[in-house]
Amino acid sequence: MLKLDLHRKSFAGQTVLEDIHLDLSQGDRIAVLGPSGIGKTTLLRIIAGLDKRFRGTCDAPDEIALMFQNPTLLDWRTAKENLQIFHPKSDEADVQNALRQVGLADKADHFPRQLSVGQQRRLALARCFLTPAPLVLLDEPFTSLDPSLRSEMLTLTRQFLDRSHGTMVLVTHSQDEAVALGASCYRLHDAAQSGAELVAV
Amino acid sequence: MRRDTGIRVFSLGLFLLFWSSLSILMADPQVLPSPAQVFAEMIALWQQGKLQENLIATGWRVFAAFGLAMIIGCAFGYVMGRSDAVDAWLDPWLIIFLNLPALVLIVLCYLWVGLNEFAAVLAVTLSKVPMTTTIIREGARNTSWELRDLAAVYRLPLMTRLRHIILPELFPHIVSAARTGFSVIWKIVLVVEFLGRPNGIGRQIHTQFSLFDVTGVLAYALSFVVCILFIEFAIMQPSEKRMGRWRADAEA
Repeated sequence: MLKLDLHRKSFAGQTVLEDIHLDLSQGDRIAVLGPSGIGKTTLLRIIAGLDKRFRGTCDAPDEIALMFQNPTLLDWRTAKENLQIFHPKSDEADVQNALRQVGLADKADHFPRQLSVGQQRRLALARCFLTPAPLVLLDEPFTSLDPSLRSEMLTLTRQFLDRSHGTMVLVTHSQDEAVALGASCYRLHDAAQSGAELVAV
Repeated sequence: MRRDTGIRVFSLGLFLLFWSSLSILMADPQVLPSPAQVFAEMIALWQQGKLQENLIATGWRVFAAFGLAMIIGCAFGYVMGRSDAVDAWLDPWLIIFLNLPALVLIVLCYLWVGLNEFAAVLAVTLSKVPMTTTIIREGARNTSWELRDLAAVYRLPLMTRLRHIILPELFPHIVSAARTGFSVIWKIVLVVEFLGRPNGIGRQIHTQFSLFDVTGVLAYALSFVVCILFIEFAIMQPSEKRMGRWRADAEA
């Protein structure tokens, strides 16, 4: 379902990623670990089809769900609208259901800035999982959360993934998160003089 | 209601008092008429129908040039803010047009296009587009790449992006561009009319000027200022409040 053959990705002549190969089936979950600045986000953007300037091929499904470290909400639209705009095919009941699942059933008409940080994150999670996408890409969505919120988010994410049977690529620098989501770990290593490579942990 | 509203009204009263006493001191309505005389002149012009006719002529030019300048400026500004390559290509042009005095543009438009309505609106539009472009470009540079990525991954149609992401994100900059734009445009329109239009407030000021009729100049000028203030308080400020609802709610 996801097949990536990345030979080289460079920025301004500098090789960032080199020889990365992924072949995932439906329901596979992997975590890509590594320190910041090693190119994890770049890798994710390539998989998402947002960055096409690399050497190699990437074969990914059309429907992808994506979540960042920041909730990245439309601050000028209500919680409900935030879900509807990204999932135009979902009906009122789907949206209400998604809000309920993340504990925001009574916040449908609130603007994101009226929500707490935790509520904003959960809204972003609801947006990510409202329509089950075959491929879910998570870019450090659990970083810089307080421990209770973090475990709550991880539990919700795991539930969503179990239900949707989606393939997941998580980018993070914490192995705990990978374990909590039942993902197999890969580490991005800074190969000397050249770009980073992917090594199974 | 602001707490200092009383002071403001009183201050305005002081200005009228200052004007009145100055006109009494001058003792020559030909040089400085009193506020009452100017007001009477405004009523007289209104009754003759001249005031409305010229206000409408000027108003539509302001409206047309403002609309065009906003649309063109927003489009250029957004693309330049988003793409470094386009910015590099167009930036020198922008600098040239930014520093071209409105008067030069007006004269050139009249010379090249002719003394017509199209040239008038074109001149005003051209003199405003660079400023709008600059402000919108700044806004477009600061927009969130994460939202753009998200919109791309979820394959949102262009209209959805425009309506729910691009325009709301640019909104504060569009407002400030509209604000400075409006205040500059109506002044330039008067110059355009002064130099080559058969009607409009600018033309009337030209006529009153050649007749040395200070009362007429003030009557036309003040009625237009009243219109501008009306637009400011009745349209600009309320719409700004409405669109900024999500921001205000957050602070409340």
